[in-house]
Parts: sequence; structure tokens; C-alpha cells
Amino acid sequence: MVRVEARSIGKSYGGVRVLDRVSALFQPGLLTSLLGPSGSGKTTLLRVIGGFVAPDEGEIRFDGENVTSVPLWRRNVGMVFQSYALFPHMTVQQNVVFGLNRRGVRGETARKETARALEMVRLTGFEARRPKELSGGQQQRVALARAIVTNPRVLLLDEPLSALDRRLRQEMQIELRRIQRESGLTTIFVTHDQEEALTLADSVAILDRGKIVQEGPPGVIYERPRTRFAASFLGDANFFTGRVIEGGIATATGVVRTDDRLPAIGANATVAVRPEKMKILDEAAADVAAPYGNRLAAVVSEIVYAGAVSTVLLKSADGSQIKILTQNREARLPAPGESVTLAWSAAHCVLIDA
Amino acid sequence: MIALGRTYLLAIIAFLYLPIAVMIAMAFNDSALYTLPIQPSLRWFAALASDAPLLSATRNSLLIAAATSAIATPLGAMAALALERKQFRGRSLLRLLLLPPIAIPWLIIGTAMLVFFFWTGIGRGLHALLIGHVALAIPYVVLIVGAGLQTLRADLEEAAMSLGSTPIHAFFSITLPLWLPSVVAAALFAFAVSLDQFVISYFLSTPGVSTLPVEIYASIRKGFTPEINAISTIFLAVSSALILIFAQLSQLGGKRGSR
Repeated sequence: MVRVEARSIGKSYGGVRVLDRVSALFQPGLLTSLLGPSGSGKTTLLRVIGGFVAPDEGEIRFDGENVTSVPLWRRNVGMVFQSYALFPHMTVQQNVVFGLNRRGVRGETARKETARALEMVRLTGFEARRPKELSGGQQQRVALARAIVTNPRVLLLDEPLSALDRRLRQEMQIELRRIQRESGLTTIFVTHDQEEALTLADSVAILDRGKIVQEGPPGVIYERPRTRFAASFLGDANFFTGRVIEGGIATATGVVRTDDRLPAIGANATVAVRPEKMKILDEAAADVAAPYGNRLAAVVSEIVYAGAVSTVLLKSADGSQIKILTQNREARLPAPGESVTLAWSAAHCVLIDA
Repeated sequence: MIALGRTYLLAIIAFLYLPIAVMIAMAFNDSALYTLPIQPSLRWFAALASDAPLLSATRNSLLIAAATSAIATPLGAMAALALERKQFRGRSLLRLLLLPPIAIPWLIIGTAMLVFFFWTGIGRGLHALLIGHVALAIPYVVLIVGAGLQTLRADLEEAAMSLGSTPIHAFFSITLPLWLPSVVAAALFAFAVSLDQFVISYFLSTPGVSTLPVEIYASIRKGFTPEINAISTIFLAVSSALILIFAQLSQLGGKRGSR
């Protein structure tokens, strides 16, 4: 298992700074997601790590060894392309054995290794097929087998599931996770799908305009976003901005309390609240007396029903929109136009850099 | 409506092929005076065997066509590789400049070549014909092999390299086999372009050294004999075969290259 390190990588294309001195550490044997909108530099970072693109500045290190100038064909990385890039004139067997042959592994050993890799991706029996005789999901598996069969120092995946339909994608996410655990390879996974990043990864790095804005386990990134971008790109969030006063933040619609350490009194501050942390108070129940740190009057503007959950859009007194997510457990949802009281805990107000 | 469309198409095909059909029929007719009914005979084909100028012109035509194909194909293929796969200044301009020679009338290209070859001392003859035909064929080759390359994703080579192939090995083991059908198609096309060329050949040939189309033209001016029908029929068969093989190959290239 290899520790992969990117040290202040810079890369520009035609005057546009795609990577802005990015540093990142990828822990051995873990799966890290590079998550960001298109143009954030995530694919370029992956390609620099793999040696497909030379950085303008900075270093790539595998287990401390500087590999920045090691060419792609000697770097020993496994890459799964968005298009799979299977060799169309070769059978599945020939595709998978290709990398072994290039590394001097031939004959019976190569055959056994190939069989083992195909077994891992559950494609035993498909050796003689050509790529175009396979479904999208099967092609994906061949690409994966081909990338891991050589036991690369790092496994790189460039949006490998984006071409699959939703159902197949979810299946492959589980498969991918299993194969990654079994192989124990340090894995870097580029995606723009936040759900995919949360489900798959041991660690998520969020990129924005060529910089990593936050990095950590999915739970921490989701529960404790550090910036407005991180909070709104990974999941939804409601923001409250105001001036710090004694015991909270004075906003246009009242004082918002948070358990986080606030800056000095008089400074500006913003907190983010996830939609599912906010709740509509049920006036009839004892709920009203419950100790929520924050309350806010709002008018329901729209309800989006989605089976297990509903999204309720509301407007507060100053006209700003609030979004909450509620489980459809209780029978009654408020109607549009109804005035309600929202409540949430001070613990769920996360102080962010606006 | 379908029946109407089919009739229309048949009419067009008939329009295209009727003169050719008559010519072929007369090549096999014993009579020199185009009398009907046709008396089947191979005498005009037999007569060809003893027509020395026509035979020599045929040999020249085949020789130049083969040489044109052998020279224009690698040159054009390398140009296409550079245009499709490399980033350099002026790439779009160079790509654009490849197209006009296809559209410029041959008469003008032929005149320009004749003037230029005289001015530089290259003169006329087989070598001049070869240079002219190669220049003429290259734009077609670049277009055909370039189209073949476009269907090949660049990430195939990247995949091979990530698996341990050097760039040269990746080219020969991945790109070339997938590209080969369009390269062969381009070679056939270059051969056909040279074989069918008349105007430029007419300008660059000398009285003793000419190609088949030029020789046929000369014979017609001297006086028409059914021998012309016979040689034209053979010529037609060869050209048509080349074009049909080309059509098959370029279709195949497209299919194999796609994912």
C-alpha cells in the first residue's frame, strides 16, 4: 500500500490556472474522492498524479519517492478512464493481460493473474469476448480488471460510473468498494456526483477553482463544512449572516445561536444549517416547549413530495428562502401559504467562512 | 411514394450506367461498325496484346499509380498524425491549406506544374508525372486517414502507456492496427486518383512516355477503333474494383474504431 502525496502542484493551460498550488495527501489503502464542479481541476490533478500530464510546478511522491519526472509508462499506475478506453481489437483476455505482458509477466503466470482479476470483477467466462460484445457495466469491469491486474502503486478512476444508468451505477458503487477493499490499493476517484463521493469514499477532497477547499471523512465534510462553497456543493444548506452580539449572531430575522466559538463581538459571521436539521414545530404537541436553541417564523411557499421525504421551501420575514427536508413520518404536512415556526438546535449551526 | 422513389433512383442509375454499358457491350462485339445484334467476340481484346503504345502506356499508368500510392500514403498518413495528435502553431491554417488543391481545377494545377517544372528544370516525363500525381494524391490521403484517426480515441494510447507501453509500442500495438483499414483505403484511393488522372498527365507526359488515359485520348483523335472500348472496359473494371474495396474498408474502419 502506497502513500501518495501531491506537493503544491501548479498547472496552467493557455494562461488559465487549472491547478493553483494544490497539496494533498492520499492515505495508503484508502479510497479518496476528488469532488468538484467541472473546471475545478479535479481531473487535471488525477492526470498529474498518474503522469498523463506534467505539472508546471510541484512534486508527486509515492511513498516519499519523487516520481514527478517518471514517465507514465514506468510510473506503474492503474487508470480507469471515463470512456473505459478498452482496446477494441482485442478480446477481454488480451485487454487484461496487456499490462502483465508489458511488465514481462507471460505464460502460465500471466494467465493465472488474468483469471484472478477477472474473477474479482466477476467476469469469468467472458475471456474470448470483444469489448463491443459487452454491456456498459461489463466493459467497466474489464477496465477495472485491466487496471488492477498489474498491482499498480495507485489506482486512479476518472468518473468511471458517469456513463452508466442510475441503477447500474449504484450496483457498481458497491462492487467498486468491495474490489477496492479486496485489492487494498490506494485509490483516487474523480467525481462530480456528491452522493457518489459520500457513499464510496473513505475521504473526500472538495476542489474549487484549482484549490482543495476542504478534505476529510465524508461525515465530517458534510456535518462540518468550512466554507460556503463546501456547504452548498456537498449537500444543501441554509445560511444565516449577521453581526456577532453577546450569545449569538444578530440577523435580519432575529438572533441565531450556535455552539461554535464566535468571533469577537461586532464582527460579521455566517452559519450554515443543513435542511434536514431544521424542523417545523407542531403547535399542538409538546414540541413547542422542547429546548431548541433557534426559532424562526416563516411562510410555506412550496412543497416537493419525494416519497420517503419532502422538501419544504419557505420564506422568512426578510424574504430570504429557506429549504428544509422532512421525513414523511407524520401524516400532516403544512400547506403552501401557511405560517409556521421553524426550530433547530444551536449545535447544528456551523460557523463558516462566508 | 416508395415505388416512386425507387423508380427515380433506378432512372438515375440507368442514366449513370447506360453509356458505360453500351461501351462494354461494344467491346465484346465482333463488328467494328457498332451493328446489332451483337456478335460475341474477344477480337478487340486480342488486338490489344499487339498494340505496343497502348501496352506501354498501361505499364506506365500502373507503375505511376503504384509508386504514387506507395509515396503519398506514408507522407499523408504522417501529416494526418501530426494534424490530429499534435498541438503546434498554425495547425488550423495548415489543415485548411490542404483542402484547396482538391477544389482547384486540374487544368490550372496542370498548367502551374508545367510552368514550375520547366522553370526548375524538372521537365516532363515519368518522374514529372510521378511528382505531379503524388502532390495530387496527398490531400485525399490526409483527409481519409485523418477521418480514420478521428474515430480513434486518444485515450486508447494513454491506456496502453499507463499499462507500461512506451509511446512507440502503444502506437504500433494499439493505434496502427485500428487505423490500418483507413490507411489501406487511402492507399487504394491514391492509386485510383493516379490511375484516373488525365489532365495533369496530359500536360506532363512526353510523346514517347504517356499514361493510359492520355494514350486513349490520343488514339481517339487519330481515329476511333473498338480496341479503345476493350481497354476502357479493363480500365473500368480495375477502377471500380478499387473503389468498391475502398468503400468496404472505410466502412470497416469506422465500425472498428468506434467503441
